[in-house]
Amino acid sequence: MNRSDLSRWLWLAGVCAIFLIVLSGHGFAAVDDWRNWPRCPRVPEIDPRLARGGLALLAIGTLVLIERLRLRRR
Amino acid sequence: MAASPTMLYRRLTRTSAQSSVRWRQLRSAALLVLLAAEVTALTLPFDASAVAASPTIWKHLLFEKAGDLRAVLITWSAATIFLTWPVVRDALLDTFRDPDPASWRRCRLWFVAHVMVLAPLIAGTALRGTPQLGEVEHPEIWLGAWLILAMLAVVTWCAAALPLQFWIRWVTRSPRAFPIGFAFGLATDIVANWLKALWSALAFSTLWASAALLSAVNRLAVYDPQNAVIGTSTFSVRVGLPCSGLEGISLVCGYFVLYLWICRREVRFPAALLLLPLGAAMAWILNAVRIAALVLLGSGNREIALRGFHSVAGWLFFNLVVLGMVSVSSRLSFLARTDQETERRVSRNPAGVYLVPLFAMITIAMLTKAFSADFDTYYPLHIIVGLGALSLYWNDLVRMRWVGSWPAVAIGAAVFGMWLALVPRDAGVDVAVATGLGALSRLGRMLWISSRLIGAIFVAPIVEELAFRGYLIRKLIASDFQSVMPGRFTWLSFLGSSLLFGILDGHWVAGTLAGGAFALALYRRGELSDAIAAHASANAVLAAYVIANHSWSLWA
Repeated sequence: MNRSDLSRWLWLAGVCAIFLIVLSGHGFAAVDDWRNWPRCPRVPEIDPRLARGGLALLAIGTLVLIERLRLRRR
Repeated sequence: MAASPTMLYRRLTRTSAQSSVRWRQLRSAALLVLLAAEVTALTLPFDASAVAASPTIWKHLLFEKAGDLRAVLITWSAATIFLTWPVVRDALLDTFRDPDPASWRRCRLWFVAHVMVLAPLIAGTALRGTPQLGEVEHPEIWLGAWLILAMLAVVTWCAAALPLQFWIRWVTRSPRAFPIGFAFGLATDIVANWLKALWSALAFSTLWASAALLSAVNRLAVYDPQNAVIGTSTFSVRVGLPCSGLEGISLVCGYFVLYLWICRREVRFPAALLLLPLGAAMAWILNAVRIAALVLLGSGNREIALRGFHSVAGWLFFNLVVLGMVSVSSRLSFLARTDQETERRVSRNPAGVYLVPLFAMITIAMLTKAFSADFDTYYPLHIIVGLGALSLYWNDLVRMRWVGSWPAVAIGAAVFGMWLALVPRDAGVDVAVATGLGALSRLGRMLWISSRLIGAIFVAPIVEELAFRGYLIRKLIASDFQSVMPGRFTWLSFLGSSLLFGILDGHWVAGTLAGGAFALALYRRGELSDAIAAHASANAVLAAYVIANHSWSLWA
C-alpha cells in the first residue's frame, strides 16, 4: 500500500462517516429494524431517504466539478 | 530459469513482509468495524432520562451542554486530521511497515483490556432499561461511571487498533495541531452559538421576504410577525427559528470556503471571495422562496406541501446554490483563471457520461417527490429525464461494448433471491402505492406501471452501473479513472463502491451485497455490460414479482 492508496481508504472512511453522522441525525435512536436503518418515526415529515438523496446529489455534483478541475490542471 | 537461493529468500521474505502489512491493515480495519458496531449497539438503547430528571450540575453539563460537547469534539477531530493529514498518512504507513512485530503483539493485550472494559459498559447500558435504575438514589453516579467506562473503552480501542507508537508519532510530529484544532472547535461552537442570537432577526427578515413574495401574487392573507405566522386564507405556517435560513447560509459558506481553499490556484483573489456573500444572499433568498412556495402549495394540497415539498426543497435549493455557483464562477474569467482553450478542454469531461445521467435521475426523483405525498405520481418523468441525459452521451455509449452473458443473468437471479430474503415489506407503502394507482385513470395506471418497468429494467441499471461500476470502482483505484482498465480488482474499490451503492439504495445491507454481486459480474470478463445485464436481470425478475404480488414497497 502506498500513500495514494492509503489516502483513498481514509477518504472513503471519511465519506462514510459523514453519511453516517448526517443520516444518524435523522433517527439514530429510532431503529425498529436494522435492515431499514436509518428511520425516523418521531419526525415523519423528515424522511432520511431525502437527506440521502440530497447528499448523493451533492457528492455526484462535486465529483463532476473535481473531474473538471483535474482536466483544468493537466 | 531457476531462481537462486538468495533471490528465493528475498522473494519469500518480501512476500512475508507484504502479507504481514496486509494482515495488520485488515486487523485495524476489523477493529474499526468493531468500534462502529459497539457505538451503534451501545447508543441505540442508551436512555438517560432518569438522570435527566435529576436536578443536579451533571444534568446541566451533560444534557444542556451535550450538543456543544459533541460539536466541539467532532470539529476538533476533523480540524486536527485536516491539519495533520500528511503526518497521519505517513505515520500510518510507517506503523504498518514497522519490521518489529512486538509493538503489534502488545495490541493484543490492549484488545483484551478493551473487552474487559466493554463488559461492564454493556451491562451498565442494559441496566438503564430495567426498573432498578429508577430506584437508584443518585442516577448521576451511574452516568458518571458509564462515561468513565466509555472513555476507557475508547482509549483501549485506540491502543488495540494501532500500536502506541502511531499515536505517539502523530502527537509528537504535530504538537501544535491538537491545541489549534481544539481552539478551532471551541471557536466554531462559540460563533455558532453567537449566530443563534441572529436567528430571530433573520427569521423576521425571512418572514418579511416570504410575505412580500406572497403579496406579489395577491395570495397573502395571514401575516403575523409577532408569532412568525404567514399564510393564505386556507393554509398558514409558523416560521420557526431553524427555518430562518441560517443553517443553509452556514452550509453554503462552509462549502465555498473549502472550494476556495482547494482551488486556490485556479480562482482569482480577491474577486473569488465574492462567492461568500453572494452565496449567503442566494441561500437566504431561496429560503424565502421556499417558504412562500410551501404556503402556495399547501393552499392547494396540504399533504403534498408537508410530506413532499417541505422535506425536499431545502436540499434541492442548497445543491442549486453551491453546485450552480461553483460551476458558473469557474467559467467566468474575472473569478477564475480560465481562457477559451481551457474551457474547450474541460467541456469534454470524460466523467460526464458516467455521472451526469445519475445526477439527472436523482434530481428529477427529488423534484417529483417534492410534488407528491406518499405516491410518486410523476414517476414517468424519471424515464424522460433519464433517457434524455443518456442521449446527451449517445456517441460515448455506442462506442462501449454491449455484450450480455448468461452468467451475468444468473448473478442477477441470485441478487433477486437475496433481495427477497433481506428487504422487508412495508404494508404502509404497499397500501399508499395501491391507493395512488387506484386514483389514476386506466391509461394513467398503464403509463405509470410501464414507466416503472422501463425504469427498473433499462434506465436504472444503465445509469447506476455507469456511475458505480463504470466510474467509482475505477476512481477508487486511481485519480485518473480512465487509466484503469474496467474489471481491475482492488479491495478498496470493490468494498467502497459496493458500500456507497448500498447507502444510496437505502436498504443498505441488501444494496451493498447487490453492488458487490454486480461488481463480480464486471470482474468476470472486465465488461461493464455484464454488470448492467446482471442488474437488469435482477430488476426484471423483481418487477415481475412486485406486479404479481402487489408488493410495491419492494420498489420503494
